[in-house]
Amino acid sequence: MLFNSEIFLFLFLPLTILFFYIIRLSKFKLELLFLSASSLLFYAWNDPKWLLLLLLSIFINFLFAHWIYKNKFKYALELGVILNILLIGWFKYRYFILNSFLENPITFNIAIPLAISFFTFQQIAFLIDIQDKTVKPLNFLDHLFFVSFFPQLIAGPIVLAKNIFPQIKAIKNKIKALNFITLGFTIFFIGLFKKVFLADSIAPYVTVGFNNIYNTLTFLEAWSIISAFALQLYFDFSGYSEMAVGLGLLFGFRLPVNFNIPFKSTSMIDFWKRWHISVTRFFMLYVYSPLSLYINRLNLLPYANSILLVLIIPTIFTFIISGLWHGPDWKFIYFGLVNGIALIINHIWKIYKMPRPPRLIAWVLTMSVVLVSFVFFRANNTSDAIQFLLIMFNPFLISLPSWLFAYINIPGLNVSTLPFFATGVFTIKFLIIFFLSFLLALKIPNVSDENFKIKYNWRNSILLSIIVLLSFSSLNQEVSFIYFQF
Amino acid sequence: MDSKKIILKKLEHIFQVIFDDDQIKLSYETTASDIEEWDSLNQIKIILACEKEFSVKLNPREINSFSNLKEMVEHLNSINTKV
Repeated sequence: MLFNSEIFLFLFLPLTILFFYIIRLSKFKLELLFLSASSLLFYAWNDPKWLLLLLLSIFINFLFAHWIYKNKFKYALELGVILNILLIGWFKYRYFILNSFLENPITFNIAIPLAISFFTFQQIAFLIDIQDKTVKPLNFLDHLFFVSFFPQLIAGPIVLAKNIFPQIKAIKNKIKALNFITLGFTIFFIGLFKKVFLADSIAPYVTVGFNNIYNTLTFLEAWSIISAFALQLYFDFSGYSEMAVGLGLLFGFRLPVNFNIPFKSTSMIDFWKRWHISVTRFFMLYVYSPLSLYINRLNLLPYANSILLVLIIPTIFTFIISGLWHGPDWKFIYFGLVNGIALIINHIWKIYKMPRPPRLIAWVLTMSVVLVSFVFFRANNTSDAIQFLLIMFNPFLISLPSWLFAYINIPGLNVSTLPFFATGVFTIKFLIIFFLSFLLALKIPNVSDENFKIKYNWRNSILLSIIVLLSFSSLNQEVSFIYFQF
Repeated sequence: MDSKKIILKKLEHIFQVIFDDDQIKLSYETTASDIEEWDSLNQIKIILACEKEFSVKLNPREINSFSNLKEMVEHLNSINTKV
């Protein structure tokens, strides 16, 4: 089920809220059971066959959580993590891995089980936390709820056990104040607006652009298209994340923030503190830090804290894994590598105290790197991405569209029929949507942050009404979320 | 000086070296957000320096969950044998 589908908005969500609060007000402590059952229905709605896989993963991890805690046998944690990786490896990466060894790769089109990346990683983190003794294993129902709670099941944010367990306990004991309904709905509708109104309005332009990669696309067009995609991806995924946070609040749960106005970043370090925060935190805590510490403790190099061991090797490894996490394709590895290498350069720049560039230049540099990485993210495959990048980095490919020639004539510039900026109307519509979206990407506050408070006034209520109306009027498109495929 | 104060002093020196800033003064209330340059890389450097200084083994997730330096000092104090 999609958050932007009519069945979810007009049937599933109202009924779930209604029954949840009926149970909440009764003396029965059935809230978690009810929410878990609803979440499984939510998960199974479009493709029931993967429900078995989800339950299998939950059951295996439930058992391992207890075995690790009781120290049942040596290497319980290692075995648990390997089983999780085998499960995701088989269902998501088997052909990719196979093709890496074949001379003539086979074409494959496997259906990846919904949400497998998210529920696998959330549970790997959980098993490690148990080994750390920072949390205790749960009973089966609580574990089922922790993984399957529908706001965060499909595409995160990745919830850490230590943050959610106290909340589970509070809900079970009916001691939690549930005064977040208004805030929850507000955040949800802002997320919905970002997804169905903003992201889905930009999406067709990006599709047209990427369909014309081999059709004499020009320099300015390529930069415009990938910038538009950056906005689409941001609104799509931050919209989804905000819907998740809003939904969580409706049931009394505070889910973690996933985005913090990332296009304001003026460095790569800053960008990765603002973009997909819950996954970045996962990779930082459970991959980068342990790996970096491990290889440094080996004392391989005569001098300690070398940049190679503390920074370069663990960062490259982490970003390759995090790239691959997005999908079984080399293009995602390149997406990770571009970001990883840029992050390393950023750190080395700081370590050697090189002068900080002016803000605007720092911003342009940061955004350019992000856009280059997004080319790999969006293109159908690596060779399309490289073709697109060749256009982006060939300023000789500047050409004015022929329709503009009637109004402006700059000597020395080429004029031709352009595939993307093909007509004046299309170009102007695109530019209006693009600049409005860009402005909103910088201006819409981080509503899922814990410190965000609604100001109850006329201005905000009118704004919210407009947002809801615009969102509902755009609902019929029902485009899937980009991150659902991961 | 009691052992916790010694640990705090030693931490202060570690921080001054890693952040290359002699002006850094630590207190029990200091948090990661008080130090602008605190990031995942510097955190690794801090852990490695602490492991060397105090002859202990630290867990990055545990360090990350501390809300201020007091918790870190207490943790080091509880596991440390070489103040």
